[in-house]
Amino acid sequence: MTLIASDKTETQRNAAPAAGQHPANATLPAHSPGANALNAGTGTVLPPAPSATPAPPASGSKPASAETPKPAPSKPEASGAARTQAAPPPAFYTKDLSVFYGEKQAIKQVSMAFPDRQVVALIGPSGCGKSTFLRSLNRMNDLIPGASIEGEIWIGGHNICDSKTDVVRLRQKIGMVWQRPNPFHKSIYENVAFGPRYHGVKSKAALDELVEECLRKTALWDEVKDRLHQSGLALSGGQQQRLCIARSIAVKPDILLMDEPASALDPVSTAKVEELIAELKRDYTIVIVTHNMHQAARVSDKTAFFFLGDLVEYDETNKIFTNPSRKSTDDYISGRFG
Amino acid sequence: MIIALLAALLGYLLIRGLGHISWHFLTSPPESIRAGGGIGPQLFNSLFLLVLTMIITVPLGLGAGIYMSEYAKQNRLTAFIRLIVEVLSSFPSIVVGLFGLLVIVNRFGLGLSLMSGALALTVFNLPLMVRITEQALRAVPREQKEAGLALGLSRWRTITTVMLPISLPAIVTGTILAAGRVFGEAAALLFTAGMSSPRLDFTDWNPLHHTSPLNPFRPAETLAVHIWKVNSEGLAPDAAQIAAGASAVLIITVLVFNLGARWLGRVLYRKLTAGR
Repeated sequence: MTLIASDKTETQRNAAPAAGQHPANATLPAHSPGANALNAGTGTVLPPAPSATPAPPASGSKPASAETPKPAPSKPEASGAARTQAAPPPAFYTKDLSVFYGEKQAIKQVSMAFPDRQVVALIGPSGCGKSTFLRSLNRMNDLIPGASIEGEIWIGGHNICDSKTDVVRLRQKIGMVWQRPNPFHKSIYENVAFGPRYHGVKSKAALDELVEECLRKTALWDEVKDRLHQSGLALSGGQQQRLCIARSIAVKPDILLMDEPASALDPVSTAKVEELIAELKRDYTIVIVTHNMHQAARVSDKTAFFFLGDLVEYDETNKIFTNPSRKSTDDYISGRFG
Repeated sequence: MIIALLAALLGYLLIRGLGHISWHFLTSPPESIRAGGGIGPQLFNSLFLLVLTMIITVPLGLGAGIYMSEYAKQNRLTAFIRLIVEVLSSFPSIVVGLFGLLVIVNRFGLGLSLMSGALALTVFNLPLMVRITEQALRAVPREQKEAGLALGLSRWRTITTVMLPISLPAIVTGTILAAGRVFGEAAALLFTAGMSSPRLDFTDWNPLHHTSPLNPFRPAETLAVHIWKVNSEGLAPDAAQIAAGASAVLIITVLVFNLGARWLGRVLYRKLTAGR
């Protein structure tokens, strides 16, 4: 049931954006054991989970990565120049998503799907709405006075724009990383352990283990293991940003949203964060907003170009950067405007 | 210029008063006719009133401040409430005192007592506390709050575990300012806490006994009120010295209190934020 809806709307979505759809996702780690985990994972977490039987929690970091009864992968139906090969169901997708600030429409009916365990980059000139779009995905934009949202965002069989959505639990499943590193004013250890402890990991041993695991994943462990109880603010900017990533993966999200995660960092730290993104891709679906075209080209599998609140083009990163089908995309990535 | 003025003022008060301060002066009860009276009960009353007022003000003020900054919608009603709050905090204290006399002392029947005084002081201390809390929370960077929420923390937990620790120094500093006002307030207390101090038995610590210093329902003259009374109707031959000494004690206490609480704020901040 979860994915019936998703199949249907996905075809619509394929029809919606730019014409140049690509044979998608054929080469991706589509059927890796955890490919369907998101649905199971969020199914257990978001309140009225109708389908998607919760898988028994496997060991390791993912909440549920066993096989679940999987509805047929989205069928590539006749939708324009659509896909010819079976693709895995998207981790989540939006349908006609619009965001308003008061009267002003910042996002105009954007429909796009985010493939499971891939990196999607959102690019576009400042003020084009890409950050707004990103912040809508975990309902963080709700915090801005006057912001309102229309349309649908489907994650694991739930439309999270529904007013019944438990936003607090939703956000646990969607990690977020900001442009400016914003570690809590707490110790390095506390920064990571804080979320899991709140969500019920009480034993010291388990927390220690989790902190180490998250810090190792973010390649921070060796740098900070001797000073875990110093303030997180004492770290360098790049380390702080990786600490923030460690903090967000500590609560075991399925999706990571990154809002220009490297734009406040020096080149070396940037490279580290980019490496990290490539690593994290194995476990998480990642959406990254970036101003840096090279970064988008380096880290992402798919790229979406936003302009004035519209999704102009959304395709494989390769295609966007070598052979975009819209002129404005071409103009933007070759630096003629924006 | 301002600093020079301030220093001159402080210096004058201290030089005039310090000579009169002695252990005897600080601990013994006042004399009405003879010389050699002290300010013991008044000093104690001031401190006790401060504590009482803060016990009422701080939880209410924190709660209201959190509500105003994090939960209340921004509309005309809340803007109006804010305006009222500001007006309230700048009320002439003599008016608050009369209000306290009419409503708290007479209507509610609390009589001239410490509790009446504390409630009257709450009238203009509470708004201050609300504003302090509200502004301190607003000063917390938005990313900090969002980071808490993005981890799946509830709003309340984000406020208590992420935002309050960051804003704590500002809140503590503001609370001290509010407390300083309690300490120095006289006009509002004339009609609420009273101008007399019954004979206190400092060996009796049962708050229910009439002569116990801890009884919040006894009349109590505070230090500031005492200064006013001694200066205006004091019969003791050394009234001027007593007033000067009491003023110096008042100032020193406020200073000590300020510095101490600032230090406490820093220590708390470090404890809450840096792990250990």
